[in-house]
Amino acid sequence: MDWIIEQLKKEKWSPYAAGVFLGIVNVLALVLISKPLGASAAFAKFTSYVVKIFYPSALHQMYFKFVMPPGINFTVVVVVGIFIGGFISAKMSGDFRWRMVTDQQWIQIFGPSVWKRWGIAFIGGLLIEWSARLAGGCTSGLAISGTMQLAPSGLIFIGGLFAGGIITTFLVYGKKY
Amino acid sequence: MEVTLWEFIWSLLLGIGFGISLQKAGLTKYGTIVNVFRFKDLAVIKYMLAALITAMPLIFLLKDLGLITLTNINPTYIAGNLLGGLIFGVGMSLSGY
Repeated sequence: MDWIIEQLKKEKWSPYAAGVFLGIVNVLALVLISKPLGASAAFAKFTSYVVKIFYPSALHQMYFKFVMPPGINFTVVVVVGIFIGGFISAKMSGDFRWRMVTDQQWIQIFGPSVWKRWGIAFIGGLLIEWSARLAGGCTSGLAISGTMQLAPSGLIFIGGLFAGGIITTFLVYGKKY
Repeated sequence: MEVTLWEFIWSLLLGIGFGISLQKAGLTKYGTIVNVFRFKDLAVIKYMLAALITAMPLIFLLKDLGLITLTNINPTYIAGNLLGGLIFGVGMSLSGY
């Protein structure tokens, strides 16, 4: 127990160690709840639930009827857990801070404007969630949970992710790349 | 609620484990995510591949022992997976999440 607390108080683990830990968590998910872990579906699932309350006529649409019927399923709980886990981890290592603009690197490239950060984060988040539903999963649900079960879709997604990310970063950063 | 009590408890604990590993690998930071696309900091790739090579053999060992069944394998449709991946990369690079 002391050892666990000591590890949690560290600011950072080696990415290899954290990755091995995530791998074990993913295997445990298959053993304990017979489902691969994912994150992005939770947001669509929860949206579907909100739609059911405020705009029930939209439930007849194909998407909410067959792909994402409303409800709170395990993946919503997992996302709540991710939030709590991240909070605990940041708190214990003393890394937790309230900030409007995330990072020194962001300020160097885009300036200190809060609106710019929040606007771009919103657009980026929109693209992430929409494309995750298009591809059938996100970095956790498809790239990790899919690839570890040797699904070709996971590897195709990883290829696309890095191609899209490298090109965009190259264009956005320009001379600072 | 579509989850049983045990499913709820395990999902929450697994999610907490997931969150801790993300935070400790530094993947909650804008810089870590974007710098992998600039080849300055490969933490994201190290993290993902370490998770994959840990999980893959364990999963297929457990599957061959008959302890788990792989039912939820993500379907492959090349255009969707690839286009989704490309746009996902754009969003990831912009927001740093």
